[in-house]
Amino acid sequence: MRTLPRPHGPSVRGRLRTDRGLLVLTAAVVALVTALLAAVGPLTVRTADRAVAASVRDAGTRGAVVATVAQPDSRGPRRRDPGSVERLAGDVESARSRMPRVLAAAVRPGVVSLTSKPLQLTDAGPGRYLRLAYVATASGPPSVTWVDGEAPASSAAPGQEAVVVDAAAPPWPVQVGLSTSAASALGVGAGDQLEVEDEARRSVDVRVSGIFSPVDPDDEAWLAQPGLLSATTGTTEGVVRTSATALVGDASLPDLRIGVPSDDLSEQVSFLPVPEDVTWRGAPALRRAVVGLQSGGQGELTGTGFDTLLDRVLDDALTQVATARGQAQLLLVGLTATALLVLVLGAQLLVRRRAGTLALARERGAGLLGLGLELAVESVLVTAVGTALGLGAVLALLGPEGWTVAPSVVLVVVVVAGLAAPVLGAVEAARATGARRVPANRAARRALVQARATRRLLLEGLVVTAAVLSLLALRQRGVGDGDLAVGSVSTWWALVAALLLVRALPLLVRPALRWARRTSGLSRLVVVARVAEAGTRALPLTVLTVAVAQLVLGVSLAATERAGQEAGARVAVGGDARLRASPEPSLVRTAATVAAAPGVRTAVAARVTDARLSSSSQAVDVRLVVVDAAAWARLLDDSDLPAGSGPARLEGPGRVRALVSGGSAAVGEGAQLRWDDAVVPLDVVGTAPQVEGSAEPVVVVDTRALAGAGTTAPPDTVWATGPGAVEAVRAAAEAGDDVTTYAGVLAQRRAAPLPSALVALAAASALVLLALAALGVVLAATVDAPARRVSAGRLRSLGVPDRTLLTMLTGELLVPVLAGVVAGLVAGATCAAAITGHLGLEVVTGETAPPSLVVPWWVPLAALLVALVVPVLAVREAAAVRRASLARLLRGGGPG
Amino acid sequence: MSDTFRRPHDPMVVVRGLTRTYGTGPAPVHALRAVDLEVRAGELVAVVGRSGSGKTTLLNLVGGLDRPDAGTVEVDGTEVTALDDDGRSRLRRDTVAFVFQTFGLMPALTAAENVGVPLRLRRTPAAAREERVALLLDLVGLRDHADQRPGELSGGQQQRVAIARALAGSPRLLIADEPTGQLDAETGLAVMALLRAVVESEGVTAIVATHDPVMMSLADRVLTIADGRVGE
Repeated sequence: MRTLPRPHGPSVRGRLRTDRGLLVLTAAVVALVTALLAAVGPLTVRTADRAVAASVRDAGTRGAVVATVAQPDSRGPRRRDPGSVERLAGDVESARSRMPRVLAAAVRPGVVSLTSKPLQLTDAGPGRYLRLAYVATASGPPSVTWVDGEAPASSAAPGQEAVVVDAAAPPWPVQVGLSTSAASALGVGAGDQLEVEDEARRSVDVRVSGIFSPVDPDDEAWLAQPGLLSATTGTTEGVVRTSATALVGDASLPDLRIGVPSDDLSEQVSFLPVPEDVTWRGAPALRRAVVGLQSGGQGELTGTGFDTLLDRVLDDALTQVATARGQAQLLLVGLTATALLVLVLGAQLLVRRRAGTLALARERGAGLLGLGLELAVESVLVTAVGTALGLGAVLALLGPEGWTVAPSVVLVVVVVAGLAAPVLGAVEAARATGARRVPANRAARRALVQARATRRLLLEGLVVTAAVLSLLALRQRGVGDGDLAVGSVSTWWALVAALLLVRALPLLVRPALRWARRTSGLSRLVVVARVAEAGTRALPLTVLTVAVAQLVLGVSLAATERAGQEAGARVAVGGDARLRASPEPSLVRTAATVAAAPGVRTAVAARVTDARLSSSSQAVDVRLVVVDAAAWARLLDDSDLPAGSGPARLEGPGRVRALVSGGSAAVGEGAQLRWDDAVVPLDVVGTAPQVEGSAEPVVVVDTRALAGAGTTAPPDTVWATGPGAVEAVRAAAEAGDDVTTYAGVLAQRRAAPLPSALVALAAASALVLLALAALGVVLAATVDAPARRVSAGRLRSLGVPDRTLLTMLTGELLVPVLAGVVAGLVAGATCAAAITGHLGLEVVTGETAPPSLVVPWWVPLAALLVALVVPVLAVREAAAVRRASLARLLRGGGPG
Repeated sequence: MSDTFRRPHDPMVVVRGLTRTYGTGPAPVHALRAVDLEVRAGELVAVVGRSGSGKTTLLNLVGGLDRPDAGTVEVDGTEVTALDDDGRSRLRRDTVAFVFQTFGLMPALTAAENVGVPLRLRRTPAAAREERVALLLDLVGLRDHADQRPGELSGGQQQRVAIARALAGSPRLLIADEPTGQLDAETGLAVMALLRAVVESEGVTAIVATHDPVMMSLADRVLTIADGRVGE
């Protein structure tokens, strides 16, 4: 049995010593790429966790799991229950116990609320409504300061806490507190007894014990009933409508139970998710639990039903993460491919430098397997050191989570780095000693050439096919997490560009050579002839083209994303600044004041509220925008905001004209707007633009047209544009008003985990790609350096001045580099244009449509940084030629 | 190049006290030891000697490819040893031409382009250049191989291209370092005959380092170099 040849130790050590510089460089590339790829895994998980948590946090009450507890039927005599507070606390625990464990572990302690339906105040005419609400967190009702009067007390006399009230008895009094805002809006004060009745005209005896202001307006309890802190005002069919909510305390809760008909009461327990406890990997299970909870039909059996949008919030978050990971994969596949090409180029250089010794060893009888093994020993050693350094760096920087490496990707790099040199070396050794028989027969020679051409065509066809298929996959499926077919689209595209360049460059060099021959100088001829001879090699051109194409793509994606964030932020705000206040007719004057402030170009007041749009075919929740069409048109003209079909269409006689998302085709016949109690027939005249980043369809109507139809919507929003808009809006804001600025929203979006991570990845990969491209140029130059040095020496012997020699060396090195850079630029830009619309960037930027591609003007300059390596190389080579003894150089000979 | 016209039998090359030592320390190699010699214009001088005797060193110093440790070299009235890098480049471009044992052709250029290199260095107009290149290729018998690259030519053909290139710039001095060293006997003889012929037809002075007795027989004078010293 044949045994494997043993590597010759001294040879291995000798090679390691001789080429230590190149081997260190190879180890450095392996370390860099391994570290980058190894770091991506844990960093991705960390970013995805932060992104999911941020989505849950941003969703606020939308993400709350709300349990609705059925109320007991209280027809007939009603018994006052002094243990109502404890009973509600029991309901909280009961609701939590019905949740799946994974969900229960991810939510905060519940906030329970017992709320009445809107009750109409009848003492001063129509239009004033009051809800009664008890809210409590695990620590009890929210803290308040009583600015007038006192906290609601029990209506039961001492010793009568469990009194039974007969159905025919007069309404049982319920003491409540009102916020200062609510009291002011309703025009009531402490000590007032309110005449109130429900929709069924059943009377409720409400007594205002005091007026309060919240100690902490951000207390979780207030979120369950925002109406407790602020009243809302609107006008329906000419009637002003004011709604507020009154606070029921611990003492008056038993009175609420018997003072308000039970079918007017609704008990809910709201569980807000804890963002930090919702992780990316845990989100799918959590989502399944939420869906299961909602569809489990427990409500009918237990009297407790669950409702939440948390599943949609998680869905959106997971989609965003998957999209962002898909985009990141696009960059990483390109980066890995470039690194692998550089490693192969490095191995090629190593083998080229050893061609002589390999041939000699072969001639002395060394077997190919033995030579391959010797090279493998060294290669494996270098790769192992590089991999250990890379993984060690990740471990040091990221801690134990650095071990969550995607082994397959790192393995590819390790295998290529470990095998490239031995395989290429064995091939070189085989070529050096294997007699290459050229057929004497011309037809056989032609067949040989044709077979070679066919093999090349086949390879090129495979690359083109892969590029086409990956592009089709992207267009059909969009980017997705772990979809390598889609993730490799830009790499295939760049490879196709490289193949085209390798095909085209000789064709372009040929006429250049003809032109150079006609000139009288020497430099051009030598440069073009040398380029024709050595500058059209496939691997260096491929490295450069792929690296630059990936660089352009990465930078363009980052720039497009940032531009998309800018557009998205402006849409989200509605201008440069936005003031949000309680609905007040006076905001029209505020808008005028803001518009008159220095640095403000336009300002417009609007009402932005939720409403419902129905037609003969559908009914949907919409975002209603009531605005002065002419003023809004000026604001849209002044900014980059989308205008849809244009506000000008809103003005005109007849029914109220409306712009609706998707236009009339999306609505159908007989469109009607339902807002508060008003029903307004609409004439859909065009498409509404996106307003304030609303996820719901948008309906825009003109303020005057709506008022003409009998419905007044006092504005709650002022949008302003211009450099002084932020200052003016802030100056106009009153306490409790909310000011949102474009700069603030943009900064927030830029700091969001996914976009910031993607931009950071694009920047990091751009730098690494630049370094790899430069390294590719250096390696390619080094491969041909000996031949170039001999040529330069021969030219010096003919009297070519040093300066001319430097020009020739620069030109010879620069031409292929420029060709690769230009091909890469074109490939990167066209690839970005072809795929940007399918990358789901809008999912990350917060827009509703894919952002337009932005290729920064400085990208070509950045790519050309690679070319700066060339003068350095040329100067070094020229210096080396000058230093070398011309006599010895010429005596050494060489080809020709 | 000297401005004055040099008549036949005037010295084209004057070497005085030329010394070149390689290496330092306990065992330096004295390639040339205070060599004096003169070569007259139009003369073909063969330099013979054993390997390592200093032939190539002498030629390199005369042609400005190397610098001596001591002594002077004057070529066509110009003191080569006093020239800086640019001056020596000019000397090689305008006055001296080389023919190397390893041919020294540019592999990326065709035979015609190689021959045209010295003319391009002087910015000779394209038409004149092509005419001169064709003439020289005719002279060396390679007109039909004008578009072939060195890799496509035999050793003898490459050396003939090298000779044509050396003559292209109409040098005053042709230095050939074992021009037949890599050629078979028959081809070597043809190359030597060619050298002899072009020296006469072009009127150049030639110094040829050789081991070949045939070349010695074709030379006007034979200088023997041994142990770094020159004798006739």
